[in-house]
Amino acid sequence: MKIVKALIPIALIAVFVFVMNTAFIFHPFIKSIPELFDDIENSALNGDWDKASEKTDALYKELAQKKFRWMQFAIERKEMNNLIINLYKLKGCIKIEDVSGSVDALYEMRANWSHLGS
Amino acid sequence: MNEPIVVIVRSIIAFFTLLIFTRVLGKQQISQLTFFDYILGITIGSVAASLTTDLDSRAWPHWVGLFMWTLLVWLIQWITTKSRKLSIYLDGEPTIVIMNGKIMEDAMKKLRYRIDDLVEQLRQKDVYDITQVEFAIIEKDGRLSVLKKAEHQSVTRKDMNVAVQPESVATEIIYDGVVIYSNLRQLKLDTKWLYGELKKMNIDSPGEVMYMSRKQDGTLYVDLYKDHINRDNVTDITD
Repeated sequence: MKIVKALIPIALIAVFVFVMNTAFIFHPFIKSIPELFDDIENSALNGDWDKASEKTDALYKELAQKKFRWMQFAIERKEMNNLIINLYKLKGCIKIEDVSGSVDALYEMRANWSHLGS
Repeated sequence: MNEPIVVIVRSIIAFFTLLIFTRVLGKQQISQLTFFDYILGITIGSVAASLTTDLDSRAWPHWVGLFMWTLLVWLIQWITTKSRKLSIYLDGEPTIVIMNGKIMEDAMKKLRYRIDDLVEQLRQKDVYDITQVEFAIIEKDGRLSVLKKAEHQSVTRKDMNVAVQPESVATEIIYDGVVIYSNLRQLKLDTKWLYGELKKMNIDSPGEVMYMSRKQDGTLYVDLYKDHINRDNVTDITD
């Protein structure tokens, strides 16, 4: 009984530490987001704007509707907002078919993504 | 970001972390807290508040801060229990401000403690005449301990040679209608005895009893849910 009593707070602390670090622990293993970055970049460089637009929508769904749901407890509000702003900037550049703007927005997104939760 | 949900999760983390950490730090009485302990408490509370609502920064660094403050407090507590010299160095020690009825001006000056403060704290101790004081000591937590001169001290039963029975602490037997069997066993009593006592008081079952305790001399205190109090005789102290 004493062991159980001592284990409860230790387990709770372990769960808290895990929740607060989920983004840091798991985000290097998420391959779907960097893959979408590459797809969008290749599409923009090749002038395939329909595909770039389609992949950007997919990126939005993946990022805002899936990953941020469980990452939100472990990251800064600013980090999430920056990625969303980058995403909208990318959408705008794709709309006007601006290659340099798209690549610029994408690299900013890559940087923000790689520093997420760290 | 669903802000309310994030705040709820962070609040749960901060709440239970504080609960666990304060349990680790022990049961130091609030009244025994020194000024430094008080500041520590405020700082730890402030870090916990940031952890909960500061969504512009990650929860983890705040939690680490909380952990470090708790660790340092625990470390200081551990050091002060191990070494008397370090305890005095870190926590300070009591200071005598009145000795043999004389005010210790130098000691008071060191503490930046005014005569007004002394007189005020004496009044709080029901001492209105400074000539009645033999010793006055400022404790580490800033409170004043006073020893009155022998002729001004209250008469005790011992002074009057009055025989007294040693006081004892009552043990709970029934709490909220539930029998506390472990206490019953500790008193070397059984349910047969309990039901017998209840029957003597016209009580059919422990479920009717809100609270029942027994002192070492056998005196029982029983409070029923239905107290049968005549409402006309109840004194209303509200507005």
